[in-house]
Amino acid sequence: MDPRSDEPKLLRQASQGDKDALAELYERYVDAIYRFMLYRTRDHALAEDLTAEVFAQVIQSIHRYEERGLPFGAWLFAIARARLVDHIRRQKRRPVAPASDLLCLPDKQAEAAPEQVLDEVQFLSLLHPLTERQREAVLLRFVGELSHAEIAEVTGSTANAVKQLMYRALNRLRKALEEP
Amino acid sequence: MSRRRVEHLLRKLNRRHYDAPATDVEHVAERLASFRHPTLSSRARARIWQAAQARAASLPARRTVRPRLAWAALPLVLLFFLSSTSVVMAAQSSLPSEALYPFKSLSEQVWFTLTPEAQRPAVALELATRRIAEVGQLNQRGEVAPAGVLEDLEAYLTWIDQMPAGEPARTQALYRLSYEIQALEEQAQDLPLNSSLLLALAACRRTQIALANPSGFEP
Repeated sequence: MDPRSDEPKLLRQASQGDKDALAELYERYVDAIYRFMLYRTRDHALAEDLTAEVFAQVIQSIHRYEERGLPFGAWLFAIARARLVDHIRRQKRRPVAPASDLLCLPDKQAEAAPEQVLDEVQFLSLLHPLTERQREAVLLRFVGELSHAEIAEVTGSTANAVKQLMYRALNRLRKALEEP
Repeated sequence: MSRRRVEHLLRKLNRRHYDAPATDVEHVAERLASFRHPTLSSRARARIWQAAQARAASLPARRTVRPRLAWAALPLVLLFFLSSTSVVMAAQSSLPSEALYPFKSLSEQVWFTLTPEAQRPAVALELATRRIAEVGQLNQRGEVAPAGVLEDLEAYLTWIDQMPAGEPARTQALYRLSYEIQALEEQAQDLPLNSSLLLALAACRRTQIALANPSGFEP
């Protein structure tokens, strides 16, 4: 059974002010949005903060969701992307921390198991050779679990362009991995 | 965990990737999909949810114009547009002592300001003739034109004088100004003279002479 099959019902309830339905949607997507923010900002506290901003906007504008005609996940990531762009503008391209610094944040990271920390660093080191657009597409695909069409909606592109972008990204990753 | 330890782990990780290179793109995709990403603890989830709710409450309500309200507002917008246009149209025949004159003056200023500089002398000629006509009409009523009207006239006449020598527009401006001067002189013969009419006549004659002799010398 598709875990998202009851989503339209939840969305309808949430848009009518059902707080439980909204909380259920939050539970389903909060991890994905948090990871997306974490991998883009490499800052746990900031990722939490931006995730809260995303869901604040969702709470406020959930009633308008149906008007957009976008799958909920894609809509959510579109908001996340917009919040991230806002943040980058506010910070005027503040330099990001190196990947290894992630392990030097015992405060938040203490909550995660050590092997998860390792995976996080592993994943970030893999994304390193990619361009900004490729990294974003890979994150939306493998962290957000969006389809090519949904990524195209989020990034304002076409599904074919996203496929091409993804292929080039994976190819670049393959070459990077094969290098001695 | 020390930085050296972290670097050691990273090197180890990278070696592991190199030992088992991906053979094709799908393999890389599988590898990316197989990563175990960090998950938020229940405490962190609750914290973010509370922050989101608090922020949502503090966000200003988004203004949305409902279609019905927009349709209801349309007649008002049309009414405003038509009434403002009507006022400006009606004001075109007003005189300085009348209530609508400020609308006429304002619309003329907007017109003059929006005109490209090269075309301003031509617009100034049109506006100067309006001021001359106003002085004449006020004189017929036995009224003196306010100082502002004469100042405007002087300013427009200065612009007319900036028309390049030898241009047909300058000759046309001379003919038109001469015609206006003649009309004012005829009026001055029939009616008792007033100071604003005399001042307007003097200003127009000065410009007439300047237009006729661009070099500044008498022929």
